Amino acid sequence: MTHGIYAAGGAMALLELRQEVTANNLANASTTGFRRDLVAAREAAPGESPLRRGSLALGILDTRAVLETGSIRQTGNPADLAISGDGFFVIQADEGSFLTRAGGFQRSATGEMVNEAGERLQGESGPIRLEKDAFQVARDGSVIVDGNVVGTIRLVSPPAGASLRKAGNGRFEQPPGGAGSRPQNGEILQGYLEGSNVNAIREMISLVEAFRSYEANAKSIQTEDQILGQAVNQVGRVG
Amino acid sequence: MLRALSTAATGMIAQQLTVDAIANNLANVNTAGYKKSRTEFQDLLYQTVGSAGASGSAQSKIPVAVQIGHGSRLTATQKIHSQGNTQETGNPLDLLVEGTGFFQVSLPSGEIAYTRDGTFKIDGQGSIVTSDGFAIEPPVSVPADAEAVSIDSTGKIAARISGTTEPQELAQLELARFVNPAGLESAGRNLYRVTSASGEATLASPGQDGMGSIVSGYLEMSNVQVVEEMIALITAQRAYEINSKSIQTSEEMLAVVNNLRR
Repeated sequence: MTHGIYAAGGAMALLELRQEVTANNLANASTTGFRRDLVAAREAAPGESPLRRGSLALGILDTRAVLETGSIRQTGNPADLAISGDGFFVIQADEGSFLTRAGGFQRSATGEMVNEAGERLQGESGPIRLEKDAFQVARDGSVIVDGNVVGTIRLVSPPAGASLRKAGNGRFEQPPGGAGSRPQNGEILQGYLEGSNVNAIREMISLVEAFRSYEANAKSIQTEDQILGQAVNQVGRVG
Repeated sequence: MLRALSTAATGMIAQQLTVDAIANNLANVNTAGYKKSRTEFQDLLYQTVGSAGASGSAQSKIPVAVQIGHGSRLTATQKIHSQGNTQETGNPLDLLVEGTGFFQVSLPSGEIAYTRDGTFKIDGQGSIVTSDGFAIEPPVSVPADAEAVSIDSTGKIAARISGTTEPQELAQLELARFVNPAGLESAGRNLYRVTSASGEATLASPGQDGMGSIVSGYLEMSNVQVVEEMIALITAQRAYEINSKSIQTSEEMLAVVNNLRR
């Protein structure tokens, strides 16, 4: 009898979740190297247990980082690196190594290339270390100081279809199957930064869409409520 | 309540801080030796809501959990130490460093600060000082009867004493450089302080060791590019606006819920 109320309530809870993901995408419209998230939802098949919020079933959900390239802008700062094409930088944090597209690096007091959090940029053989502050990065990732190649920046491309989990601070966890190999079409641009791949129009549409579906589901709860009200109060009334 | 409300608020706060940084860059567009700052953002922690399909059928392979982010935050305002524009002044005590070195200035507390602002002057005691009256380090004193003070590209300060013909060498300027100048702490008054992130100062005479040479009679102005700042301002304002739309929509969604029960 009240099944429709639960279905509509579940849909509303799901739309709230979508709205939260959209809000996060928009909040990161200016975050260096940010990848937007997409929510995919479908009905639970028989035997599958859907994601629940309280008693409401939301269905089978999946948030997925969309790996399209963000806008690349010139900064002129030699320690800013952007990846044109596929691939990720590998950075070493205290809690392990992560993948990232955020290429705002600087030279640390000990001469290593680090990001704002002090996490070290990895080369093909250990962290990238610069003896001097004048250096060039070639498109293939070779780091050149005084005409000598002192290291090659490591780029990895997780296997196609591998889903990446976000770890916050612009980082992705290494996929369980290993970080993957060097991408064929990944090049490093020195003096450029890659922005976020959030598209304001798409997110606005998503906001409007989620909001209107939310309203529609609220209407169906109200209608269901009216029907129930009539059934309770009018059916069977004599005279 | 909807997490989206606070998520969008973090976005608005981040954009507001960007506008603050841009306003400061623009306010210092004509400040000698000023280096522009740039804001850097990162996304916040992700909450894993539920692992979809974890107990699903064998055919359904949805490997990703539902991850919901909590917005963005400002991680750094990074100083960009590119060379600023050059301005000719003709004043021999206006100095420009053509390279990466910083002038050293001793503060009244005895602490050494660093600056790119080369507007030096001679005070009542004959010392070479900054506009704020802080003495240049190592200290230089110009005799009262000196006529023409000159500074060459290697930082040798010489003066012709009244009654003589040959200029007399007074002192040798020393510059400081840092492994990571972006790690210096801005102390206001065009001064920087050394931090553990910048690394200790390496001292050398101008022209040596990549310090850059001194050009007398010129000033280094700020490296702020007005067009660049304007574009950043527009972007920040629009991003601020769009985050406010997230808040509005979330708020309307809550209103819908509140009207479910009439």
